Amino acid sequence: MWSYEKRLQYPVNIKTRNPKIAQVIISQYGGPDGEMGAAMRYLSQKYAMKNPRVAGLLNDIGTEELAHLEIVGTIVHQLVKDLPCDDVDIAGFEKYYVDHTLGVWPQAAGGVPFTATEFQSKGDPITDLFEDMAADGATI
Amino acid sequence: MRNMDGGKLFKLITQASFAMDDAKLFLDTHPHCREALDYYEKVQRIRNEAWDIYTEKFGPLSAYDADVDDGWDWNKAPMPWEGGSC
Repeated sequence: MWSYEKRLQYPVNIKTRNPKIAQVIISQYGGPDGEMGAAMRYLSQKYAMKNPRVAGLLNDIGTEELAHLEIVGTIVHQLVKDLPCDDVDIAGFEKYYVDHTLGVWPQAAGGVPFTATEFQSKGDPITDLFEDMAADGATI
Repeated sequence: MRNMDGGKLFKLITQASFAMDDAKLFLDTHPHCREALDYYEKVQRIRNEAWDIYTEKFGPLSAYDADVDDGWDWNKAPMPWEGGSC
């Protein structure tokens, strides 16, 4: 199971609203190489990992990805928090706003909703590790 | 550590936890590395002390530590995603 600690893994204190940047950052939340995909990837693949040490590592990495997800969600939230109605059309933000207002919703920057098709879980540890390298290596 | 203000204690918890998060992943694949084990223990001691003092003075960071004598303060503001706590 998981238990929540009432703190971010890394602090986020954004002072200036910026709906333009929020629309880009949202991809790291629910986009193809985002934290949601990363967390689901490791936490789903752990079941097929036969080496218990490495299965535990996958579980720890997946857990940390959930903490990253919260950091990125916080960044998006603070970038648009209390955005005045008159400013929702800044940099095309109205296209996100019409469906989600100022809520944080997992999507790619291009508007594609988060989908489990962004990651794999093949039941074969070596295949899964290669997929991890392709996915997580690409985000650095 | 006992006379630190809430912000300083919270920052110490964040830093010590971050160090432990990283060392944990290393230890998962290097479980017998003495240097890493000693480092983990060193930072763990700092985190535990800061955690206990913070919890006692400012309220729980985990629901498991909630002290119900003063009512239910676990989900009291501010929430971490609203910033301002560090």
